[in-house]
Amino acid sequence: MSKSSERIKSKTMSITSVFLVLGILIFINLLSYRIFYRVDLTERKEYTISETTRRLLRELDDIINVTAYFSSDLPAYHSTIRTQVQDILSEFEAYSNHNLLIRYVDPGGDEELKQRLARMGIPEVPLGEIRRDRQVISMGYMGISIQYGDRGEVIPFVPNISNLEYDLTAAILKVREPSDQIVAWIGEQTADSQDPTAFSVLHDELNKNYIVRPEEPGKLRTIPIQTSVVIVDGRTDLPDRALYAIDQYLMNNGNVIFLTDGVNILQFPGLSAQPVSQRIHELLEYYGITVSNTLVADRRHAQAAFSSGQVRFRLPYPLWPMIVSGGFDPDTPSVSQLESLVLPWSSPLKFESENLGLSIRSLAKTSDVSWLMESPFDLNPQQNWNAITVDDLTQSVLVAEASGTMQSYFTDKPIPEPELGPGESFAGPVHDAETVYSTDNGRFIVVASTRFVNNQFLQMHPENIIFFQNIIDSMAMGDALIGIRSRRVTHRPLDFGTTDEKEIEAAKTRHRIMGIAFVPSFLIAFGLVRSYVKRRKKKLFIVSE
Amino acid sequence: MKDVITILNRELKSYFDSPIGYVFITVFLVLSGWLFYSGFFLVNQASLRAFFDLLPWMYLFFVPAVTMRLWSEENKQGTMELLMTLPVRDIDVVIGKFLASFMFLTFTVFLTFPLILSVTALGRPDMGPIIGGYLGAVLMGGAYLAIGMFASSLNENQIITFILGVVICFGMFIIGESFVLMRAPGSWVPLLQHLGIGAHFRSIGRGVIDSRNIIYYLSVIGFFLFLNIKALENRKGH
Repeated sequence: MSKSSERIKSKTMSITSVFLVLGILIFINLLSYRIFYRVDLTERKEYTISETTRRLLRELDDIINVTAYFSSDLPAYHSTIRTQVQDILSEFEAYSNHNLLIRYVDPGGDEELKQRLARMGIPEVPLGEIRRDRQVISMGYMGISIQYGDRGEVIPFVPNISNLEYDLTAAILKVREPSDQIVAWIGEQTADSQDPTAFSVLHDELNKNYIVRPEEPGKLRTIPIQTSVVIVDGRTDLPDRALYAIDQYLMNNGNVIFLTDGVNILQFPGLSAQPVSQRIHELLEYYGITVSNTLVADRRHAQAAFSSGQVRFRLPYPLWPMIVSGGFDPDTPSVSQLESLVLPWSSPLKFESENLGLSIRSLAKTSDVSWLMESPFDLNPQQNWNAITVDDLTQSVLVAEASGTMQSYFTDKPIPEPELGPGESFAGPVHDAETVYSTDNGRFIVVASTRFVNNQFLQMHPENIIFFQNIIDSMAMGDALIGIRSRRVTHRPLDFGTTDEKEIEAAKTRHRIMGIAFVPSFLIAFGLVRSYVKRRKKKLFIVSE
Repeated sequence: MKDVITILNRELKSYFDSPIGYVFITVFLVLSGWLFYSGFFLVNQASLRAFFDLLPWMYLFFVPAVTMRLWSEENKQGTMELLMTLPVRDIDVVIGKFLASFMFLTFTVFLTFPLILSVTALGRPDMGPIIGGYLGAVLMGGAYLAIGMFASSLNENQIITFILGVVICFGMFIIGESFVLMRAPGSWVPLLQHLGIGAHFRSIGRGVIDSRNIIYYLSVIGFFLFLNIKALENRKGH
């Protein structure tokens, strides 16, 4: 055989072997997607389905069909989500003892299926992508249906997987034990999503799991006892009849969440604050909780965005206290797993732990380096926050829960008549003769801020919604689903162990020096010594030679 | 195996016998530390995420700098011919050199331990993503090293092999990033996503050790080391 033909043969073999190895590796990688193993090292097993979900899946005794409707030609980003959804669904399937049947369907060009999906509530959604350097919108499906017999639930659109476990578990619970839970929202009704002070983002979230029923305070006469949770938006005061309706709902073992301010903050035209006194405060005081007319400031706080002319800047703002893990009640599942909550311009809640059979406890309190600010209030973010002495420091409760025996606020008061408009008549189910004056199972929560879940604050502090959803869920459904949602909250702020700004700056410098220069200087010194020893050895060797 | 260890020792010693190894480690540590601390106190979170986010980009330049000399240096010093005629198998030479550079890079990455001390002293970090991040950094470093070594075997000039290494590593990194994925046809996305080096690193960096990511990195390392062996064989043939 000539040398050139040998070379050609060798090259052919070489190229063949490269393709063979490549083929084997591709096969192994494809196989790895069918058979894979995962270990979740995160502290709270954030990427593994929770014990709550696993228990629910193990308890399934009948077939539930889960169909994921995902278009095959989704844009890049959304295609990643499809893979992540498949991972989660395969985990669900694994724990369900074959009682969860998972199917993946691409609606493609099937018009009949598309119409059926539209009727089910799974829309074809516009998805943005870049093609040839141009932003284009393509349509695609990214929804999931959960079917049990003739009962069905849908997750219309899965934009990310952060809440997917919760949504799937809640949907499975609902199809097995259907119940349309109602959340009544008593307060000013503004649905404008552009209005930063409105609650439309929160309402959209709540609507996923509840029927949110808005109630105008002026028109409120009674609250049906079938209502799962009542939320009282304390931005505006309530008329007597609304107070009566809330009181009676509580006396009928209802669940109420009060959002209230002790100090009214006006953001426009300039930042100003005034102590506020409302009828809700009187009601709460009667039940055993006093809303103070002071503001809480805390060394552990969030940053606030301020504008001065055209310039927008962020500053540390102690009047936006940030409650972190140590401040939450460890014995209450709805808050024990939370890592942070920001309650802007909040006022402390004062109470005795026992009030005529009503047990009251703190769900969230400020850090031990917080203090109170009294009227007249200085809200300037650039004021000297260091002019606080140790004697001024005091912890404040900003969220409290009361449960147990309660007496009606109207025990020794006349029952307020409904305010009727011209031509209106009232024959409500609750009237004087039916007034309930006490209960052994009263339950309500007071949050000392009305702003923390408005559109503006949810955008800055999305973790606030987790807290709010958790307390609603715990009242409406018990604590079954809390663990799933809380695991997604990750907020681990730094703690310098001191409040002194100088000490904090010194600690930062120490860490910077240690982190950047310590190892390199040690290494350089080691290298120089090693080089010196080597040179010396060499010198000695030459001399001895 | 004995040959592999002999080559590994020789290579590893060479890193610390010249100032190159010290300069490399010092620049890597100072730069990564400086970039990390410039945002750490501002973000105010006890996490090494900022460090791990930087790592794929830092590797792009640092790893080819480690590998560019692996074969080119042999050519420069005239030891390549000697190495070729020694009774050692090509595979042993390639694995020995790879393991030496892998151990050197791993050592360098673990010298960033003061960052861990900082976050644990100042907060309560989740150790899962930190362990995952370091494991991912080691695996991703291995993949970059294998690519860089292959690039080094293609040319005798160190500057050319460095640039070639950066280009191939960048190509392998960017194909899985949203910059490319957003412009790619939908049907190509899963494949490109799987091929991209950074996506697997991020997946492990969450704190989830997934067999799919490990198999991917081992495949990349294996494939480029195999190409390296073939490149050596090819050179011998000439």
